[in-house]
Amino acid sequence: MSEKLSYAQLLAANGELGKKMSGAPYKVSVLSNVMVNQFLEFLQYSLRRRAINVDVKFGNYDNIVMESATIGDANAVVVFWELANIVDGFQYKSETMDPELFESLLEKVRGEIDRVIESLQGVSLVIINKFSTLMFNHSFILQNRFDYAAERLNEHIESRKGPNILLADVDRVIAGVSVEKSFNPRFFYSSKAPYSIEFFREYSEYTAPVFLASTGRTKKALVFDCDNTLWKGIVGEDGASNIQMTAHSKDGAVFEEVQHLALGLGKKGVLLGLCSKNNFEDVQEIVAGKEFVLKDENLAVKKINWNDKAANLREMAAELNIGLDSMVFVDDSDFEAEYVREALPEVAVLQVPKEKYSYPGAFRDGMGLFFNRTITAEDLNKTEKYRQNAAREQAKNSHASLEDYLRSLEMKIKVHVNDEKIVPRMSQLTQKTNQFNLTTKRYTEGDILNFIRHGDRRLFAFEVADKFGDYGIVGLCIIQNQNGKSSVVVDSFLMSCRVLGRNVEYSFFGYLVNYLRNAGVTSLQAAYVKTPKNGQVANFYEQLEFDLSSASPDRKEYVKNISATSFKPVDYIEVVDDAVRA
Amino acid sequence: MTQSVPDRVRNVLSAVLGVPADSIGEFASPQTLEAWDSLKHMNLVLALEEEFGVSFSDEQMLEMLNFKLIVATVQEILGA
Repeated sequence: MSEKLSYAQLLAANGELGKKMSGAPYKVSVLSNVMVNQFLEFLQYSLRRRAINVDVKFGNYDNIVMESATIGDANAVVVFWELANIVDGFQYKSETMDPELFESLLEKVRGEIDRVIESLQGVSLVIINKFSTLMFNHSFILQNRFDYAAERLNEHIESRKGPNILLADVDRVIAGVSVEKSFNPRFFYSSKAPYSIEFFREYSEYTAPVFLASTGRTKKALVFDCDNTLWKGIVGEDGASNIQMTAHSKDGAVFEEVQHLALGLGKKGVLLGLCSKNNFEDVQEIVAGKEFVLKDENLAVKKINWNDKAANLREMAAELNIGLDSMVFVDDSDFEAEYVREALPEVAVLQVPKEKYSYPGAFRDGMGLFFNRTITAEDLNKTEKYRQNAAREQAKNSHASLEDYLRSLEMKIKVHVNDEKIVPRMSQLTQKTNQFNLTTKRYTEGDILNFIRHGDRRLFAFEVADKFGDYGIVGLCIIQNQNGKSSVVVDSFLMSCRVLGRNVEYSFFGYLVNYLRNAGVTSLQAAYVKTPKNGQVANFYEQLEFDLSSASPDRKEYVKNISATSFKPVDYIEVVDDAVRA
Repeated sequence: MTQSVPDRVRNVLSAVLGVPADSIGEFASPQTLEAWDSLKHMNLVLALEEEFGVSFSDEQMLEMLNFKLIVATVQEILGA
């Protein structure tokens, strides 16, 4: 939880942050039918603080439909569509209006919603606020026509929205702030500016996880300390029989709740781990006991030892193949929480509140860090996959050479070409893959669906399996046509770290080149775009013997004539695809 | 460290308008500072109300035509 700045402090801090931002701007357009100009700095500050170099543009006031048609290259759009202003004074006129006029007004707004959704379908992320009546109707017991209108219009958006649209539940924001403090009647009646600065402050925090997810900053792993973090008591001192972690014990209820919340995240694909200074056997006794909710099979990684926690977390990140900035660490100790914040500033640290009854609430607030727009089958099996990995690692040690080992895995790759059934997973791979990612372009489900249906791009997603289990869909390559058929560009090539070091990428590329050559392609262009995380693939195309055509510190361009070359297939990996060939 | 009312008003103005505090003179107004447009004026009112824990009446808002008048209005409400 960050400290609360006053509005003036926030404006000053935002100005300072703005001077420090660099990198490609993340463009957000705000469309509204009321005045929301204070939202500008709240949104900027909220995203800049999270290292997103945001560039916010406001559309013309009360012109959502026209503005949405000329939105340009925005990465995201936020729509404030205020029910009270769909016609001037709708919050009271709705009650007295002629019924036919009322219905035809709703019909008109439905049509406008359709046009806006249609115009914005090419935008990766569109946040539309649900229509809300709380600011005007909070004390009404009976539903009136204003409420009725909100319900009908919300249903309509719900029924029409594509995968790029997120309906934001503004009522939750208003509940967090209070109705009284959310609404600014003075500026609503004088200037059509209904929302207070408290509202915008809360709204910006409420929506921040969505922007983090869209810019590939979703957290992936949740690591807990043990004593007084997962249970009440210190196992090494109090003994395993005296610690408390169930709702039936005196002080255990909050710990049972947090364990369940964590398990819920685990079931959605968040990797769970333990990092505790303890004797391994002491902790293991509890982990194996029936009161412990998280259970061994839900834990992807454990470091129960007396080493320093920063070193342990670093090792855990390496074992899980994720960046430190993908980790969240929970600890009750001031010392450990501060130490990790200092030593590993990339790790998000949640400290257990001193008042234990505040712990579940604080933990729920932190859960926003794991916001993920789509949960796919791969997520649900992820912990199982990391455990299978451990089994593979063991097998690895018993083989003389790496190649013998890889051969023994009996790997198979299955390629899906332009497969609409896996659009959510393809989008998610572009959003979440940071390390093995040549160009790091993020695409939403809406983008991917567009590519398949209307685009000049071909999408090759691939599944990998071996004798130990299934990895699911772990790689994606997007090929963009150039003028004519013979030259194409590799728009994106990325692969989950789970299958690194197995020559899967070379095997897939061999397949791809054959596929493209058979489709009449003779020349392949590709690029490596440097990010802080993708250094490991800086020379990927050199390894494939592409010719470097230009190079700058941040970018290398390549070209490869494929009319004559064939890549030698990796003979121990079988590749099949689902492509329909003419 | 308690700041005087004029200093606090000056800091709020500086933050809201995005101009250095020392560029805001006694008679700084929407006419002398380009950044001080009607939208910024609304932000200014909100920021001042929060800073001083006060609420301006419509008449008071109309009187807040320059730096000096804002300080006077705030002082009047605070009874200072």
